[in-house]
Amino acid sequence: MPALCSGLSLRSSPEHSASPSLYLAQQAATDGPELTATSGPRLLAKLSNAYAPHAPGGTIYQNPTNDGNYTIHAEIHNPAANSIDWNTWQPPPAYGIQPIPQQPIHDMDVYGSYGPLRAYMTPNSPGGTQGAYFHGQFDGFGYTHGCLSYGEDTRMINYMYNHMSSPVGVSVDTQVQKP
Amino acid sequence: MRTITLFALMTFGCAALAQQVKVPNGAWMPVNAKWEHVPPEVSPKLLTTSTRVLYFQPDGKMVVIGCVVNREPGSFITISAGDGQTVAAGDWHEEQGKIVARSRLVFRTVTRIGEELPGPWNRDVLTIKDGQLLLDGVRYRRVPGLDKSASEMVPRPAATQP
Repeated sequence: MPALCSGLSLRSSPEHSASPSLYLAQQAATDGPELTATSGPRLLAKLSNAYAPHAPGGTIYQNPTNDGNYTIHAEIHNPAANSIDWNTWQPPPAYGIQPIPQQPIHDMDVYGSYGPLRAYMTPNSPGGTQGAYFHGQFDGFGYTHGCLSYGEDTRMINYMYNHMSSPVGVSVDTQVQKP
Repeated sequence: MRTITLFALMTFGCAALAQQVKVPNGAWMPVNAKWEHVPPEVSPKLLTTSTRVLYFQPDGKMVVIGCVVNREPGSFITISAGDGQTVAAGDWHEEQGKIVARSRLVFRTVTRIGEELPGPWNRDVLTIKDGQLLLDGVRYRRVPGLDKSASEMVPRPAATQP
């Protein structure tokens, strides 16, 4: 695993090979004291098929985040989410890093689904975007809808939001490329 | 002879077309969707719209998906997985030249506090005209490029996970 520059790399954990949903950060960004202090792998993000456990008639499956390199536009700080799109019943898309208020928005538990911050992941290679985000999860569902989740560990996303002012490279299961 | 052949081709061609529009298999989205550009520094070509996608299967299952659709002209079009969805699932059949569909909300990416799913059944009658579906005053056009991502929203038994 090469050292990274202003990026993070997520890859499958050999010790958790039976569970494709577990991904680890092997090496964090090298330009900040908080992240270079990371020693050894630690659970960072969960990557899994989405499913709707209570859907009558079965389960809704979606593909997990595609392997590859992405860019998080940490230089874009979107206004905090405060409205609901009435097609998706969640806040409209935001293409930088967006704070999520802890209180419900129009009765929707957005914070439970996304945590305090969500960051849009733009794929570096052409061929389509899944609209994936790097987001939290505080409602205990344990799955995503094709995104990466930091669960309740906000250290990485807080660092991006508070200390990074340029695009951040993110690689999923592949060697990182500097944006 | 040529006239007869041409007439036969036109007749069978029209019959085939009529057959196609009677069975609305696949994904449909509003004709008048309003596409917006994302910030150019994020993606110079990406267009996005918040909309409702209808997806019909030949086996009579259907879903209504509230979602964001992403597209790059000439490249791809897909439902944005990460921007969340609502999914109403149900079934459809043809009745006197119209499509009768019933569905109920079975899934939201973001939970609505206090809500229990599935929701109540809704019954809709769709008409087909000029190759377009009409539902609640909104015209929908067939968009084959959405078939794959829309089909993923159909609830399936666990054993048939794709």
